Amino acid sequence: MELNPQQLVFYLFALLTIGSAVVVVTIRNIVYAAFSLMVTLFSIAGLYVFLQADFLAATQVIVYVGGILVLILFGVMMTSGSLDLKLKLERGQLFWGGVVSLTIFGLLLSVITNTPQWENVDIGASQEPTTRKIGEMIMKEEYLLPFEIASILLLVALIGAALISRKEVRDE
Amino acid sequence: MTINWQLLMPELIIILTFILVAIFDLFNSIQKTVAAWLTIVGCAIALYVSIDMLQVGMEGTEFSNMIQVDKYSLFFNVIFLVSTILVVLISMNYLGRTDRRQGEYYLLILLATLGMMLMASGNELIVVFLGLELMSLSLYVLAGYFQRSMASSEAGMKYLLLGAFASGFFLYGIALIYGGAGTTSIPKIASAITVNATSPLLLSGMFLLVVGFGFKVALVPFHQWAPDVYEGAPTSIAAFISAGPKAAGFAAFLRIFLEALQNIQSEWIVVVTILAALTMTVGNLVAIAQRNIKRMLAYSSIAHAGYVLVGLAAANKDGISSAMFYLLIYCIMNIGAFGAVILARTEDGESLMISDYAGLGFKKPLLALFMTLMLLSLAGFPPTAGFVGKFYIFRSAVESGQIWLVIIGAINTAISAFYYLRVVVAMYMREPEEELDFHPYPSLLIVALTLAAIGVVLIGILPSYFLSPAQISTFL
Amino acid sequence: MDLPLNVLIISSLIKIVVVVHILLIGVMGMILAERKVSGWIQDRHGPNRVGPWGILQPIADGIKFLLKEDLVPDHVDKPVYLLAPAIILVPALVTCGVVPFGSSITVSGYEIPLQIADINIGVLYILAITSLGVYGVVLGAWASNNKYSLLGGLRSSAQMISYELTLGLSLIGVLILSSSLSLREIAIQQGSYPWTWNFLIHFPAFLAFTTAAFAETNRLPFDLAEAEQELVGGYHTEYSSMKFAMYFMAEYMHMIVGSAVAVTLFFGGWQFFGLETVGGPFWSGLISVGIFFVKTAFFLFVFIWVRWTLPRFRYDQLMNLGWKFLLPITLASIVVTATVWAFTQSKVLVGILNVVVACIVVAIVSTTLVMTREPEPVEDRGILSFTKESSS
Repeated sequence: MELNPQQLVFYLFALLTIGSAVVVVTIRNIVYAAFSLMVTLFSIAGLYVFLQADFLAATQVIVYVGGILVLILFGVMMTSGSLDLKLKLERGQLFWGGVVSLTIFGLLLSVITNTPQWENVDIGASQEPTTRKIGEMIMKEEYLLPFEIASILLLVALIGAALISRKEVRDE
Repeated sequence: MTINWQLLMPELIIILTFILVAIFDLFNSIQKTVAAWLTIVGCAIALYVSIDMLQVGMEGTEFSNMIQVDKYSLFFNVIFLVSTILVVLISMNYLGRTDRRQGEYYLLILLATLGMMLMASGNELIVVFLGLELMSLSLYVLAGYFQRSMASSEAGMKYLLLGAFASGFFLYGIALIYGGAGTTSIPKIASAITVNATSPLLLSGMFLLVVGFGFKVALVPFHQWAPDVYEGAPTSIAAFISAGPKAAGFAAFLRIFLEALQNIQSEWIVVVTILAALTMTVGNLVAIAQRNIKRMLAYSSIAHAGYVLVGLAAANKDGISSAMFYLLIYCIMNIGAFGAVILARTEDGESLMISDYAGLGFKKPLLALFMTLMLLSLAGFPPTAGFVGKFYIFRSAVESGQIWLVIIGAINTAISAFYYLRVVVAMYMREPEEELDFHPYPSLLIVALTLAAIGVVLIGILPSYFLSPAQISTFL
Repeated sequence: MDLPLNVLIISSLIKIVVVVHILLIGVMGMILAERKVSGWIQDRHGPNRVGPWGILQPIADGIKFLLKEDLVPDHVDKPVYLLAPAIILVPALVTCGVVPFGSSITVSGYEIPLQIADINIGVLYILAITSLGVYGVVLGAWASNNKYSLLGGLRSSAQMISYELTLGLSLIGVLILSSSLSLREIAIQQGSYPWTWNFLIHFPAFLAFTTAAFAETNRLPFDLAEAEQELVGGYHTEYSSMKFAMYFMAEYMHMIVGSAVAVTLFFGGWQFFGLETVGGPFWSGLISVGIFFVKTAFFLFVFIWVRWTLPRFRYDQLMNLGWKFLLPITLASIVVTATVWAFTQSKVLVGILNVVVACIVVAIVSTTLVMTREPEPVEDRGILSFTKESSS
């Protein structure tokens, strides 16, 4: 199979994504796992760039790499004793986890092989920035309502976090 | 963009109530029970508006087809609001006056209700998903509301982890369906799917959606979280989780499967039928073995999800209307049953073991009466609402030729009578092993239970009065 | 992109090489400037032995760093320990790739923009890369396997998460008015007169941005992560020699890049009135670089000035400032900017109302949330336990 540079880059990112994801689940050191999760998330952002989804790629890095993963690391460091924690897998967990993931993998594989034809979208032609379009769709057009619901959703998360972290206080 | 705000009146009222409760909650000097009363009043107004809109027959889509307000969604609004009001009523005495965090409790209940309403009226998978998340996120926190109690924290944690997992499946299903149909709008998916061209993308998306919904409404084999969460969560929240959210899950389940995926009906009906049979049987059989009443009610609610699923498996107009009708009944009687559990409170907490209920029939006649009525209705005995609900569900299944499913359902009803009646028998025919010092009756709880009891009896006696709105409210 | 591909590649390579070297030399300059300015502020001479007026001091420092023993303690996690100093340099170097440092120069007929890459999500890119800065600190702190380091890393990550929010939100107002995410576009739109620059239109947001940028560089008054009096050296306690130097350089690079971004977003970039067309297409380009340099230098001076003037925050003060003041101010600024712009389209009004509302927010917050906060109840009173221990 002849690889053109584009495909080469794609496969590089794909390999990086999968490889680091495998490390995430197999490595026993929790900080290493978090670190290689960073690589996974980053390469996914790379794949997004590859699909001309520039806004999505930047958001992926900001939200996942810059936000969620830092919080994970933060949580790990705040939890006493978790730094030297070696992650263990029970054999039963391994078995059932394997069954579930292999089932899903088989499902997706059959989807990929059985789909008669994939629609080819020519992304080379549409090199205009996606940000404006996304902004208009969210603020002006059809996705206004989901956007607003999402904001309420975040509000729930805030209230919930405040409630959980607050001490249980009662009047006498 | 001009928006017909009238269509969204119930949702707007809930949001307004939310804001009011939030503002009142800011002031420390105000009694926290004000939040509860505001919630009840807001929900009552929303309920009135919903019923009014249902009678007028207001219908339409809004926000560029994102939301579809029709009789179907309005009927479900009624279910959600009724159960929310009942839950708030039973919560007030349960939490007591002194709990300073109550404000958030009611805020989250309101937001969960909003999420449910969006799920029922969502005309777009994204809106349905966001509604689902809005509801689930509130419930995760509510399940872990008692921080001091290990069981409650564990319930919240378990619910969060498994719920997040389920949401992942659900979202993946949406993504695959989007891949197959090229849209996430429910009517557009329906028209994009043609009978003879079923792409594997759609099928696997459908499968993942079943898994996602299965988790959310606790169908076997995705039910593992339910007993632990019900047992650990505050009892009022267990009542809440078992009622409204389940109805909301089914509202979206019915709408997506019977409208969007109607053209691949032959594919999913097998899955749904098997799930229904499995859910009913496992739920009822395991319930027999339970000694803790909350766990027993948890398994019973799993079994009831199975009965509702029979309505979906029937896949006709009657199936939908009987499922809607059944959900209404189920919400009322289940909240009633949990309310009765709260009522049976002693000095050192709730009496959760079934053995604790021995002899209650004579010591606490009112409590025993409520409990008996709710359990009889759950079991499906004739003069109660539970009977008519099951009757219409099974009739619709017979009409669509699902005879075997109906037979399994009938056997299960018989099985379920055993463990429901066991509690009743314990209450009236057995001597208590130890003297338990029960609390006096809290007034609001009695009000809530009386309302639920009236509902159960009234629907049982005059079913057509409640069934006919459901029958004209289906979307098929 | 009207340039032919080969010109594009060659010009980009040249720009990358030049910018990276300017950045490295800038770090040296900053080291000297820091010591000189601190000397001046503290009324002493500062370095004056190495070379005339001590200007060779950074080179002496560099040689010292290189020649010191490169110590790797036994108890560290080696791979991460070695990687962390490199990781912290990356964001600093990568960010400068999108900063426009001048208008454009014309060389043999090709008009070459003075910016390595003008990507259309420039602002988001910068936010994304800035958010990575925390990894070098946190991983270094963890790998050192030392309590003080770990505490420094924890403080740093908490601080960066809190202030990143402000950093991002303070830019929204700017983005609303410019309706573009490209840094070049934003810079050009501001025009060349100081009173049309963004820092006047979005004054509260600008202050918030600057404060957050300070916090992101981990410098005084935000240097809780390395607070010498408490944590020895914080996250770099276990680092010596060149690896310590890399942390050191990263701090200065972050400062330089942060200043450059602030100049681009709030101070009109490379523009200054009267100097746009002086000396034809080649020289005007270089002059614009000079203007940009002067503006950035001013910001860098402010960085040093603040460091030697303000004491360190206490931890709760840090969190209060971030969450209770900066965040509400930026949020209010977004609302005001959006509303006023939608109704009046007047930048003057936006600027005035931004300041007014920010003052109101500060007044409200300081009277309600901070001043009159009732003390947390010390002890939880016993509650009725609602759930009986039950066996299932």
